[in-house]
Amino acid sequence: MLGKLIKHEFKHTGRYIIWMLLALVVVTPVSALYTKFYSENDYASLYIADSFDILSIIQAIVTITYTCTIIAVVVASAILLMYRFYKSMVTGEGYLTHTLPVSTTSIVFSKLFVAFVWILVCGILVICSIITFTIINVGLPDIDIPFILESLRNDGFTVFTAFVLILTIFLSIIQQITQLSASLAIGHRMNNHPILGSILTYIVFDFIMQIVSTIFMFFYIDYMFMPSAYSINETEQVMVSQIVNTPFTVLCITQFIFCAIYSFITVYMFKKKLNI
Amino acid sequence: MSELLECRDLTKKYGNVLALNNVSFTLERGRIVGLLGPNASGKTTLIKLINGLLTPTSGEVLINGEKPGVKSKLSIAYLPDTTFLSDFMNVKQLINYYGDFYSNFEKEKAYDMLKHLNIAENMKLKAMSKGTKEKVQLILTMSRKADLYCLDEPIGGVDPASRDYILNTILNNYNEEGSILISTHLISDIEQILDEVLLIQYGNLYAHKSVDEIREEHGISVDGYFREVFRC
Repeated sequence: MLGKLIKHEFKHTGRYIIWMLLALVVVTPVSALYTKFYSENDYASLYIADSFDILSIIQAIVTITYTCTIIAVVVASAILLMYRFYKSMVTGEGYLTHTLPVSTTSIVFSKLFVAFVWILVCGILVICSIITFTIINVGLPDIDIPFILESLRNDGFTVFTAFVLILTIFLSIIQQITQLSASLAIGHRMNNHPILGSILTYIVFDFIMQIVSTIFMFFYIDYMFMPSAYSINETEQVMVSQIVNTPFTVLCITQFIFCAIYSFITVYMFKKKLNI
Repeated sequence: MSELLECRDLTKKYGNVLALNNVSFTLERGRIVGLLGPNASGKTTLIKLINGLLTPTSGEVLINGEKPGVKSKLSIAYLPDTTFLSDFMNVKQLINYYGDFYSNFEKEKAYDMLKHLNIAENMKLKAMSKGTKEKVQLILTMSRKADLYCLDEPIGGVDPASRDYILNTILNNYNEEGSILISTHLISDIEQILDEVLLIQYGNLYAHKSVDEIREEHGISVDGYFREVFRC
């Protein structure tokens, strides 16, 4: 049943996001190639009048289009995913969702999982788009990858370091998604103002996260500049592993705990306190 | 055990508002029961509690002896009093959706009923009129071989010809080993198909009687009895 929930959730959410991603795939090379053409060619002969430069106008349109496409992929997809969660869990469509013969945990998990996948895909495609745009316009940078990898290894950068950094990114995405879903789950209980309730709840959660982040940064800076307090020899070179592995492992654990709390809140509210 | 549905001292409060007050009754299999009451009497609240869409303040609901959950959702076919399907989906997608989640959903039956209404399978819900949408929702609900059909105001807001179609669809397609619970205040239209009635007012269960009992004891129709009991 979980597979079917995920399948249908991808179908529901994909019908807009797929088009935005396809637009990005098309717009990226077109924008990059035109920008390269615009910057490299002598177009003085194409001036129609001193104050009218048609190629510059096209460049402006191309830049705006490319920028808007990236914003659409990043922002609009996130808004669409949250709107889909709200509509299918709290409004009229919730009558169907909550009467399906599946557990509330499965319903919530399927939605959070699909949202995570889409955000990850959108993020990766945006990064690839920016890299492609840069390579087309500037060319491949002269990077000695073996040298960089050797340097990182010498500084203590290990596979575990890479794993922790990637996990931090993943957990950041999941934490944001679960924080939003928990806000909607609590907010829907405000009968007349579910959206206002959700926004207020999100603000409260964000306030708590800011306090936690501040405490983490306090200890991280302390750890960085006073390593002796953490039993690290001050005369030794500070290794990448020291400034990344331990603090970011702690950060991952903290993020994981918050993800679990928010997920529990979401499931609990829709299972025990549902009111649509 | 023939008891399909049992409500024991069911109470639901929304803050200080008492929507249902100590409602207790049982429904047996093979019955068509009217849940009758004026507006804001607690009919929809009761139906939502049966379907697990609300949690009781106190008391309990048992379907086939179990509390509302995954099992009961498979054995209950619920038709809310509002549009609950995604507008962008077409008929074929909706039938596949139902087929995916409900093992007791009969696709051929749904297609037959939709064909009878000349609704094409590629027609999207958002392209349909309100009446047609409601018929599609009803067809999907009645194409399930459920133990209990909970229909919340299935004939409200539709024309008289459509009401006849809806009532015929209900009568001709429900699982006869199960029961139907129909909530409505259009009693004269529905009276002829009812076996029993639950009369509810201000969250209290006023009466649970068979239609024959009402006619024999009071010498009036159920509609007349309703008007007498709930006279303003």
